[in-house]
Amino acid sequence: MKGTLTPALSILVAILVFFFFTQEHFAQAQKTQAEIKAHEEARDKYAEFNETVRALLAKRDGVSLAERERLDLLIPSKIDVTRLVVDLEKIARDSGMLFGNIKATEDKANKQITSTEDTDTSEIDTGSLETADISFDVIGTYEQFKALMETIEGSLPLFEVTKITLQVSDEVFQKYEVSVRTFSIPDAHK
Amino acid sequence: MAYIPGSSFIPKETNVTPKVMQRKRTFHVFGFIASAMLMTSLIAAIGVFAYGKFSEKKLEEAKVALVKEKSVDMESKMVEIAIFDRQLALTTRLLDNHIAPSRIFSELEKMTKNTVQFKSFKYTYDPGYIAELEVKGGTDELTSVAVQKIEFAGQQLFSEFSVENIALSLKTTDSGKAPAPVAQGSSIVSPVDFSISGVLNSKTVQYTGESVVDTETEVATSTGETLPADETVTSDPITP
Repeated sequence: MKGTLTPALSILVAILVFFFFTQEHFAQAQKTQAEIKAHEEARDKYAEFNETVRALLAKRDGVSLAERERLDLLIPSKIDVTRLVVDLEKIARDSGMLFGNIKATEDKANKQITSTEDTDTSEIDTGSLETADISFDVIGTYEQFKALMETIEGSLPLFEVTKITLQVSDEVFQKYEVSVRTFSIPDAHK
Repeated sequence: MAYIPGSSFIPKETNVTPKVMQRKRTFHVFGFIASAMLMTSLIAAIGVFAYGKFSEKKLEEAKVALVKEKSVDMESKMVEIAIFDRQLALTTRLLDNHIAPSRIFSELEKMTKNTVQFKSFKYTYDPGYIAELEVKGGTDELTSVAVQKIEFAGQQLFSEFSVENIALSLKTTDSGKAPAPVAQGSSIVSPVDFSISGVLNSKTVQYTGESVVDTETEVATSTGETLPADETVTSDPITP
């Protein structure tokens, strides 16, 4: 009786240890390993993301400050219509033309700009792109008007000429009705 | 009593196996298996316990490494980059669609026939879409309209256009020819009127130069003078 009791108890203890300790702890360890793997993957992805951001920052920093300022001037964060009218008046005056009959309308609605190129017909998500339309009349000669147009085309901020109307008269000086549109990206400098 | 060998009730010493010796030779399979199982179970328990502790330590290290990597503030920088990228993309697209109306005048100067005089000019453009041009002209002869149309067709100013509203005045001079264009009030009356309207070829009128005038930083001073009329009027294809 004594000879079989001890082995039987040993087996019982072995089974109890296995089912109530070893198995449970092993399952827990497996779970921990899975967590470690998940954490390591997350860390790798963070590292990859940080590396990408660093590369992009380096690329952005490659653009000179002067060029960035120029870009900000081309499409500013805010449209100051009064300032733009003053600028246009100055350009017209520099071209030797009379400037007047100004009308300005600001459009806060988002705009979709589509490409006119055949190869690229996709629309660009312009987000919160805002526009302002300014129409005005200028009086002067044809050459003066051409000079004015050339100046407006290459000006900062960007002016897109949207309308030109001219009724030729027998007068030397003609009246040109012009409309321009300018753009802004409100959150560009946040 | 006869003697019978080995029949003594006292066992002979040589034939008796000691009880102690009998036990030593017994192999208890059941006991061995039980012992092996117990030992294996205990060793496995110790191993698993150590493995669990090791895993917990590794997990703590992984957590610390993740927090360290996360602590780098890249989110705000990413937002900056996204805004800059959008600004760049929008600007590029706007510049790609930027049209230079002065080029229309230059093209018209080259293409306008001597016998044709344009009397009105209407240009419309919705950025990103097509640019349209409508010019109304007058001439002495009907054939000039055809010649002008051929000239337009041969050039790249329009991607498509049409000549419309051709109106022929019935008034003639004493010599039988159509009268020359004359000014009536502020408008011009021609024997033959016509209009040309069409869609401008964006490649021909697209802005190609650099932005040279900075109205924010460059303050140009006005001369306050207008040019004398005779200096410009001769090269003007649309003024009388």
